[in-house]
Amino acid sequence: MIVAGLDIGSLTIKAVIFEENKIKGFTIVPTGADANKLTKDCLELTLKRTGNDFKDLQAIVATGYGRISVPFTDKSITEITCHAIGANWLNPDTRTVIDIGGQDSKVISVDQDGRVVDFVMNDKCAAGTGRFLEVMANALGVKTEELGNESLKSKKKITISSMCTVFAESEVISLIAEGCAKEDIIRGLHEAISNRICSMACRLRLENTIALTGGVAKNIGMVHALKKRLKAKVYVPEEPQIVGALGAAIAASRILYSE
Amino acid sequence: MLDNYNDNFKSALIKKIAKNSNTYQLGNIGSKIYFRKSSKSFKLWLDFLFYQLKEACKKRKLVVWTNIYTPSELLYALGLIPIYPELISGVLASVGLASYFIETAESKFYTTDLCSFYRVATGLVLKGWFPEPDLIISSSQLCDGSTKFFHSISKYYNCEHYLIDTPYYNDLNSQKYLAAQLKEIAHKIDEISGQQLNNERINHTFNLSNQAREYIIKLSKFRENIPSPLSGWDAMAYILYMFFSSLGTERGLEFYRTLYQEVRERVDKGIGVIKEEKHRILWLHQIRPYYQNEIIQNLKENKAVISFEEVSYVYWSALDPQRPWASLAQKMTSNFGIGPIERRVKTVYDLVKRYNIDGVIHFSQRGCRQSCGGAYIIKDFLQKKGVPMLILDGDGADSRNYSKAQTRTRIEAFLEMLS
Ligand SMILES: Nc1ncnc2c1ncn2[C@@H]1O[C@H](COP(=O)(O)OP(=O)(O)OP(=O)(O)O)[C@@H](O)[C@H]1O
Ligand code: SF4
Ligand SMILES: [Mg+2]
Repeated sequence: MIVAGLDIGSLTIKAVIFEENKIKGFTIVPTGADANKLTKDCLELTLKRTGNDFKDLQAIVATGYGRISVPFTDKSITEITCHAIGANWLNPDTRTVIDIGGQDSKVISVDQDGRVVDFVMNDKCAAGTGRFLEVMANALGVKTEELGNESLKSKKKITISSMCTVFAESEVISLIAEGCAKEDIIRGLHEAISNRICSMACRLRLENTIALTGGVAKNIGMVHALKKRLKAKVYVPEEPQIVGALGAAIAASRILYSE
Repeated sequence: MLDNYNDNFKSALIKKIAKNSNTYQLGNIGSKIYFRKSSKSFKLWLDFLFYQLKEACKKRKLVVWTNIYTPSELLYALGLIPIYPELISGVLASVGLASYFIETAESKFYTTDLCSFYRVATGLVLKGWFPEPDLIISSSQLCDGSTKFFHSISKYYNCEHYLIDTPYYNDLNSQKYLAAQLKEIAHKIDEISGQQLNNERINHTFNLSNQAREYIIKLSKFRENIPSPLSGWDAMAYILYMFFSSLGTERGLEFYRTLYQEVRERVDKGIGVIKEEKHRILWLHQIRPYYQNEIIQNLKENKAVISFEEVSYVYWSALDPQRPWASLAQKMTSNFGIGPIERRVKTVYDLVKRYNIDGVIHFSQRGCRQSCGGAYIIKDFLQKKGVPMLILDGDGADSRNYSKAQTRTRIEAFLEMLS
């Protein structure tokens, strides 16, 4: 039985091919103007990698912001439910999921079966999300992927006070002008986001294990900052960015089982 | 329907709209929402709204600007014509005109953090769109933005502002304190209007209010029905308008009698708001977003219906014309929203059980302190009872704070959680 999960997020599209309870392959591509076409391409690329054909797919579930507009899927489920399913499959001890994506951060309480018990989301702005970090990386002249390792070099604590993306950017620029080290600024940014996310997370009953998902969990500096703040058992999947798409794929296989 | 509109007001409206093609577009959408629905009760509401505006423009009676928790029976017994800036702000938002007034208020340094209903209302004042007040009577109950708003408006129009200070506890002392204030206001108004408040008028007004109240109670009973015969989305729109502004009038009574018949018919025929009812929702906080939004579609697509909303709960006993002031005071202190949060928690939980509720949505209005403050405590309590609750942050009148996709994700994830 081959199924696919698609996560059409605000910044990236993820496709996961799932067969007999195993991840067979996945692809991550940036979201663009024509999300439908990009999603289809992303899926086809993954199929090519796994040596399958579109016809082989027995069910497709879509999630993420673009979930509703994709025409060739069987069902759409929110990314909250999908991240919970995905994280539970990867690590059944997961009781809390923190998904930090491009535009949203979400904290989800899950039970032993991976069902959502409660959740909170950031409010409308980009503060504390991947997009925020991208803007800051740009201001610092650092690649987003390098933020993590850079921040680990930091020796001095700097506190970033603004969380509005525009204000924080100008704060970063003035810190550079004052001669602060890049790595210290980056660490300051990570800590600021982590504080914000933790105060949001505290609205739920935070229970171990906490799984970090979404693209931002690939940033080692963010993971460190969150671990320090949360003082909890933290689990980071090997590929945290595809957890939503994985959850969607698992949901797709469940559709088949229930039929 | 628009013929009933006061001519001055109407031409002013058209003139303003014509100046701005964007608002014209929005107004167009708004009027479609208005007239697509044609239930008799809806038309009665429109008639009532336009009638009151018209009467206020004629200036034959004293025009009083007021807020929703000032008992309307007091105003009608005193022969006043009330204007409700908060409610009208909601109406304007639903026809897509709110942003024009919000921008006006903001251009005069009103902060975007102020509850949008008061930014709309302030814009209305600054643009001089409404019949001016001869006086203002407002209650300090629940909404603290309102006291400040009316205070500044009284300076702007240079008119008296009677503030009814509502105490915290629901006890005899509070009621005495309130009754004395109400009586004092009545005397002052008698002096201004040169009329004498007599028992007959009190009797008449209270009777009308009590009869309407009976219908509202029966309606609430109908709403226990599965499938839900009346959508909370409507209950928080035109019905809410009548709930706060029409009690004590003939038109108010007629409205509720009609609505009762409409809902009764649906119950008898077993017609629900949606075909297949999977999730019964209780909506908390008095309001919802009034501008064009997708929330109700999102709920419907996922087979969820707003079976009841806390704002429609009849918390007061029938009014007693023999003890008018004490009785109105009692109505005010009976409101479960004031006093310790435990009162609200208890009422909410009672409603959850009574209406067979599967999940509760608390709409947290930006800039509203009274509603957001208690949300977490309610959620905590309900969760322990096994009732899931979603705190939905949003804005009732300022569409700039609405994100279609983010709101949809919250609602759908919540409903998936209930499944
Ligand atoms: N290698 C990496 N190192 C650091 N950060 C990364 C890396 N890869 C991705 N990211 C971050 O992940 C973010 C995108 O995450 P993700 O793909 O989970 O978002 P999304 O699902 O599209 O967004 P949303 O869920 O908010 O709609 C980017 O903004 C970027 O900051
Ligand atoms: S939403 Fe809150 S602040 Fe705004 S008018 Fe209503 S009670 Fe007042
Ligand atoms: Mg995502």
